[in-house]
Amino acid sequence: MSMAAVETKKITLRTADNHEFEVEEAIAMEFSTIKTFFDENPDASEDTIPLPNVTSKCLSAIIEYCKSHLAFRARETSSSIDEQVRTYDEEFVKARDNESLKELILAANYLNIKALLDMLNQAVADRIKNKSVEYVRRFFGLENDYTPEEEAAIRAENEWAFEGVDPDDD
Amino acid sequence: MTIKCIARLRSRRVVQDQLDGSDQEAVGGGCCWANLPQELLREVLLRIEDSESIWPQRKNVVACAGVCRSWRVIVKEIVKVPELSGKLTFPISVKQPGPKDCLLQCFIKRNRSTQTYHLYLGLTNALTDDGKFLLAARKSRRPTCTDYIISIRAEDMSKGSSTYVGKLRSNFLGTKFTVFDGQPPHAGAKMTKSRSSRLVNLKQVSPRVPFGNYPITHISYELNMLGSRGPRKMQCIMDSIPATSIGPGGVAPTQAEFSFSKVDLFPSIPIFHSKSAGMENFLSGPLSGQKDGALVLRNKAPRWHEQLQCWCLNFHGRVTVASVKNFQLVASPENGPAGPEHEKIILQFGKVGKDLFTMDYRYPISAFQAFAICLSSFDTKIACE
Repeated sequence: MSMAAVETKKITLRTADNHEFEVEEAIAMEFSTIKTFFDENPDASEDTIPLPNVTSKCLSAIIEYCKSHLAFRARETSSSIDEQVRTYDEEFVKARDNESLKELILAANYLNIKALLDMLNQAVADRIKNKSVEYVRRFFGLENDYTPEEEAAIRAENEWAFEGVDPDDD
Repeated sequence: MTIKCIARLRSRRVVQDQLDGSDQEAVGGGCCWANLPQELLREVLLRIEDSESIWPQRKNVVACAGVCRSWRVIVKEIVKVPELSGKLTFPISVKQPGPKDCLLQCFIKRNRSTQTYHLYLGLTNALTDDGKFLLAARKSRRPTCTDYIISIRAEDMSKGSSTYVGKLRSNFLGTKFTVFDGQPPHAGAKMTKSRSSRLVNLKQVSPRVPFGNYPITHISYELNMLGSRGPRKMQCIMDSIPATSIGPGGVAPTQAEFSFSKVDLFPSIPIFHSKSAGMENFLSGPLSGQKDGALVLRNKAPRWHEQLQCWCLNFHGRVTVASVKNFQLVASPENGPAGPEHEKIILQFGKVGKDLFTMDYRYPISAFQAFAICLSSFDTKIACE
């Protein structure tokens, strides 16, 4: 990376669906995958970085996320900032459907954005907590690959676990 | 989209009518989660296991293990045995040794009219009846003995049922008791009524687990020198637990999976954890029926309090009503040279209300064994006023 960088040096990213995004260097460096690339190749003169595993829809959401979090970090830490960050994260996740949540997780994993990945993983965990086995299977589109005997044992196991607790709203 | 996805979407639409608004996002297009990389799935499950650490939320961990095979493998790998984590998670937890570092606090509720006893894990520090159900026992008197059938399901107390865990049997006089485990406690265990002479090797998983009655504990009550005026003497021979378990580096046998049926399910998960080299020594021969090498527990002798004119034990606030049934068990000196491990209370039981009793236990015994031993205290007539 050229040390004589202009203040707002931009890096171009090309997504799987051939859209190009110009982002500020600071934001691109939030993607550890990209940061590592430039750390290991300081003289790289690549103008455009291909991201074959990320769609444009995902990347634009991720860029928004990183931009906002960078802005939050630039301000002084306080409990009200923490509260704002929490609210932002909640809103970021809330409107997303199942499929886009998963795409975001895969993209954040590929780009190695730890904070975002942790947040998304927690969001999924929160979505399936307090739900029944059947709900989780439906949510993830998973097949029940147990034999009928195993299924009966699972049911008995769950009956014991759920004994005396409030039934979930499923 | 593949055919499978479309078929799933269609069947989900049928279900959609029954779903409320919050479930809308679960419908449609979710079928591609199935190929989420294992390490990401593991991250999600790790978070759930970590946050749902107490009951009743812990049920969510059990639910995750029931979703499908790959989830079960991950969850079972993440969840640590009570000995290490101090937490009970799956039904099998009640048959695994308690935590090494502290006593797990439980309580027992007695129902005199139905002759049943329910064991709960305490959820609060207060001596209230707020707990997670663990085991139920029902007393059944017979001509020459009394049986307590112990089950994982309060509504299902029959011996042939898949929820049968074991039983406590007393002799006619109520002075000697045997605890039976419905599953082999360790490799090489022999049943009393051997339906099959097949021995289960530690490293193998047999296609059919011998389902029967394995004696794992022998309990006896005696009057002490003062006769019925003094506290009784209690001895428990833990046939399935070696005396070495309480020493440094000691290991107690740990069952890994509950057999809800007579067939060995989930064959990818071995029935027994192979914990350390020490296990091989322990398993060199069947222990059941043999007294050598087995851990022996005795009740701590109460002290006579001259001013209060009664026998006293320090129950650290966990027992509030005087009763001859109250006891504390420690490792008996005969297990080996006395060390600090012989001072630790392994099981403590006592009355706190009319039909409410606390039961605190720790490694190397399990909740099931502790429960059975406490039940014997209910039943014995030795030194009862």
